[in-house]
Amino acid sequence: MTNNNQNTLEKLKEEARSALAECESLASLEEWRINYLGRRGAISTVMGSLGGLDQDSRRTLGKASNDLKILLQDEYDDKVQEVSVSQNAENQVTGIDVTLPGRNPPQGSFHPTTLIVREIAAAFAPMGFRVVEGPEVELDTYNFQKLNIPADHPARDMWNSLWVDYPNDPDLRPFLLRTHTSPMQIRVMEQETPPIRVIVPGKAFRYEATDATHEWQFTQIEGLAIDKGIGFADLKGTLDAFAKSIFGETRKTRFRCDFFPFVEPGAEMSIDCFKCDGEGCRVCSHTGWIEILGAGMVHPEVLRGVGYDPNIYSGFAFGMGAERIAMLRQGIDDIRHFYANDLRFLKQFSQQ
Amino acid sequence: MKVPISWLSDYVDIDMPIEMLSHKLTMSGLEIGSIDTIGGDWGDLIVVGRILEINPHPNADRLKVPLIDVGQEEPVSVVCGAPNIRVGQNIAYASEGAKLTNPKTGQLEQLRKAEIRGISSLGMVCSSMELGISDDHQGILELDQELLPGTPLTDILGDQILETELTPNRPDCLSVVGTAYEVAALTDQDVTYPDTSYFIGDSADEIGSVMEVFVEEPNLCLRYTGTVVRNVQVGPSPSWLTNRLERAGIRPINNVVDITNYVMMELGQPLHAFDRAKVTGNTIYVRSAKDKEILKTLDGQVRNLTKETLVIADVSGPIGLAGIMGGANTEVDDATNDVFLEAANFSASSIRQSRSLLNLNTEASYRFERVLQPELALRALKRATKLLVEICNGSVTRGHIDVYPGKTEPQNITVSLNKLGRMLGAEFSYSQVLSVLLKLGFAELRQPSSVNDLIDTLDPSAAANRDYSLTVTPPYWRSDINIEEDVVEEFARIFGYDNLPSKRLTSEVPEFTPNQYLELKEIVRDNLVGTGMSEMVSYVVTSRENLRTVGAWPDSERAMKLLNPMDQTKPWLRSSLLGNLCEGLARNHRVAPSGVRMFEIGHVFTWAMNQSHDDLPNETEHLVGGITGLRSNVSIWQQAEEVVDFFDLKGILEHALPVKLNFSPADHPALKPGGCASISVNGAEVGYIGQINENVAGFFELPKDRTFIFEVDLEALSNTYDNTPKLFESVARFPSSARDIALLADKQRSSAEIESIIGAHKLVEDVLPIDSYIGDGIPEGTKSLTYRIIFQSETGTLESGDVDKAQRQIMRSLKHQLNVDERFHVD
Repeated sequence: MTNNNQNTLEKLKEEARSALAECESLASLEEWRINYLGRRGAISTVMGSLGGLDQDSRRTLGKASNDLKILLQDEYDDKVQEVSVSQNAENQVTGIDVTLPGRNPPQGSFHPTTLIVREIAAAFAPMGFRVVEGPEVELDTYNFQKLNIPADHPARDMWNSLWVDYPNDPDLRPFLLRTHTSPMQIRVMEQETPPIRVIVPGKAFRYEATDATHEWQFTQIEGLAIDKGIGFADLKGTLDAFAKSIFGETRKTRFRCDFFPFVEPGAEMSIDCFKCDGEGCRVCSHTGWIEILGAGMVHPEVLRGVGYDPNIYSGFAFGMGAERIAMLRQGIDDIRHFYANDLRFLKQFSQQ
Repeated sequence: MKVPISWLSDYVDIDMPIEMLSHKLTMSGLEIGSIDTIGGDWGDLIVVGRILEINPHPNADRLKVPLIDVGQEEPVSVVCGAPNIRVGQNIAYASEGAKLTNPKTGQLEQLRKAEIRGISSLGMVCSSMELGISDDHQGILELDQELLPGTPLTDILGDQILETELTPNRPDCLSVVGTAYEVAALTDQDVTYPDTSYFIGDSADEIGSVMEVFVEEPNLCLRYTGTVVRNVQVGPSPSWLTNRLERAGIRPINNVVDITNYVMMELGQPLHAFDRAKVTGNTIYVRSAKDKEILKTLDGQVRNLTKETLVIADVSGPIGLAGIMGGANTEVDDATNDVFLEAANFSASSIRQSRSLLNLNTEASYRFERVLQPELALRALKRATKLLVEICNGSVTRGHIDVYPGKTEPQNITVSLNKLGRMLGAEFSYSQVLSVLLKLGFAELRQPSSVNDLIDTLDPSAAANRDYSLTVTPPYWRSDINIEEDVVEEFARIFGYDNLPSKRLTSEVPEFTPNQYLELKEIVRDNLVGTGMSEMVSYVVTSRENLRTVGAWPDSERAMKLLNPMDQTKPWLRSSLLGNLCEGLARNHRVAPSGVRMFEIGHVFTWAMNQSHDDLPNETEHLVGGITGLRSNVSIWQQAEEVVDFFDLKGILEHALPVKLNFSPADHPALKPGGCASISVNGAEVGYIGQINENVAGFFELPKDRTFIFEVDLEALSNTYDNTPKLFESVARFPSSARDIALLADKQRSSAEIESIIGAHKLVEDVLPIDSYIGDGIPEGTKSLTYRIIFQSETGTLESGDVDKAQRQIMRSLKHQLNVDERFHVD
């Protein structure tokens, strides 16, 4: 009797498995499930018929039919998976062409100068420098005199100026287009009290012939840090951190003596060439180094001029050309592209 | 300045490769722009030759065939056309393969054997220019008589020349000796100063008996030294002198003038030699020029002088422009016997003013305007006197004129080593700092060391605890060392900036104050780019026509103009960005007419009312944007060409500006009537938007039917911007219900008026225009507007009857207040 029942179960298993193998659609699989695993299906029927058996047989057969149910359930699940996948594959052939272009909204773009200014400001932000802006038409006083550049000083030749015609008194030349963003050093120091850490991006103007590397209008980024006890080491460390942030962690910086009337000591910072790693190439004019910015400790005369006691306060300032940095990094061959407003140029730099 | 190494080596040993020296100089502040090599590839191919005999060329009268001893067994024979060739002369002989400069092209070319009119020529007798030494191609280069034929020329004339690029604070390095002090400090050596001693004969006259000088402007002439050298033999300078001058970029003239130039290049002090015989009387005046005085200067130009210019004069009038250029009336020439030699010091700013008034830049004015020390003058005078004696066989007068109204005591500077250490981030000892300064020519001023020694014996810790400070006198040739910080830089730059420590800022971080204006600006920029606008940046100057066309010409008193514009057609500072925007749109529209969207953020300028000379003019920041052409490029998804309209640009602006904008019909000189709106926020006007008018379209060559622009005053906008965090509003608990109503209104009626009446009903949550129609089927002079009204109650679910009632109330208000009827029922 038990053996018979065992054989019945064995036959049922064979039958169910071959029927399952023939199922090709989700519909036929559902039919199979009802027939074999359903509430009134074959397995349930077998299990329902165990009631009349002795206890041992009931236990043996009960376990066997339960095992069979689990086995068939597993095989059914696998088969459902298999059929679904193949049906999806069929759908794909008759579905949408996902390689067609997306229905794009129009693509805008940031000016490359905006991008580099934002990036440089972001490099200084974690070091506590906030952005301020200032006027493009400046007073001679702020552009020169308060920066320790008196009238008739030969250092003025470093900044050929575009002067504004002052109609109220043709004998005076009090206004000019600022030749650098440095006058904002004075304005910030006059308006605030130390500690000061600011970045000043903005347009600057020089009366100079234009060529691939010179524009009469360009963007400068000024920086200033003033507090008690700031020294040359802070200048070096801050600017080194900036260079690494913009040009890469492995960049080396180099400082040489340079002259700007509003700093003492004055310096110029170069980085080892990111293109050739200092071997010498076209980008670095075969020197291995690229000049990035001018800097220095704020001159005591400048501090005194804004009412700071140079025996108490000290600080450093720096300035760099934004376009030059973008040109170096992005291989732009001519600074005049920045002001030509040609979309074929402008659209190249925003992320897409 | 050009500094020949051969000359520099007279004063300091060059004990390292030139490239390394050049690097050290550059890092310490004296930038070397380039290193020129003379004779680098001459090798054995160019040697000293001696002319043994000169034979005529059988086929050409002008050519000669000299026989030359080149130090080998057989002399060589060449063809030569130089006028100055002589038997017995030493010359530079180049044999086949030598690289020479072709005087016609300036290019280096390899010398080949040639046959010149039937006579073969093995090599060539060279001119200075062919050798690349100078621009002289008048004749062949004559070499010293003592040289042995066959000596490689590179041993005699080979050189390297440093081209220094000086910052304006270092006039001392406009001299070879000044440069030598830099080299000495960087390589730990001492400088050998040029000899300034000379022989004074017993019979020499006292200077006072032959010449006197009156300085009438003691503030402008700080020192005047001079002397008379008699019986000079004017002629060409010896070759060592001309070689040096040529290498330093100075053209030799005659031995007297060359000596003054030589001493200027050597010591940095400009000098001038007058022909004594041409000076009228025995008195020299240093005075301001009188109006209408004229002087013909050495360059042959007649100069009209004004009182701003300081002149050297005799009783008859000006004989030189002080510190700039001598006069032709006292020029030294071949007939000159006695020379009056001047070495003076003039006020830097006065020289700078004069040379810019006269538009005359010279080596002398270049040096004076960078501030020379008066102490230099007498040394230079003596040095030049010595050379006039030695080279021109002159005889000196006893003593010298020295009028010195600007004499000051040497300035001593005390440097605290503590401060130096704090500034440079490391501690340095007294001796370490001092040794660097001494090499640079500083002098130490010290407490008698016995005093310190005594203290140290009594208290062994005193030396360590003492706030060491160093007192030094800057070298007399340096005018840029005035304060403690200057001395700190001197030490730091020679020690090497790269050898100084580096650290991150550790001082207190300033309090963070958010800047609402900059925040708004960057949000607007981000949003505009997000709507497909491309950012442009244009020049701050423009033409009057440009400003007039966009209606932004301020009245003439307010418009700001540059005195020296880069482009004469664009001298005006912009008072609006609209013109620049239109130029940008037009430029790109020409290239890609499908669709252009651009914006710019930039400053605009006008004079303030009653502008004073010490206040800033009006300068604010504006935002402009514009679109032209197609709404989107034709693609698989967008086949019909849709042209942009007013509402495209309005939508962009509404999206981009983070404030609630109101638009009302307005007029603007650049915009089409009926297609223009003013933009306001909370009642404050911030800008304009609209379709360009015909005038603008014509001027900028833009399509008038499809170009729309706006301009917004960002600073005015910022005043309306509120970035405080928004407060929560409760979300409706009961369902809303929507009704569409079609209205018939007068054609002039604005949608905003209708919306505000509908929106005023207490049950109306929102009202959206969904259709606007003018045309057949409705009466002439009317338009049909359809609105979707969202009704919502806070107290319960609205029944259909409640909504009907509300709708009737709304219609009554519309009829009553605006005479607007329901066109028909939409259900």
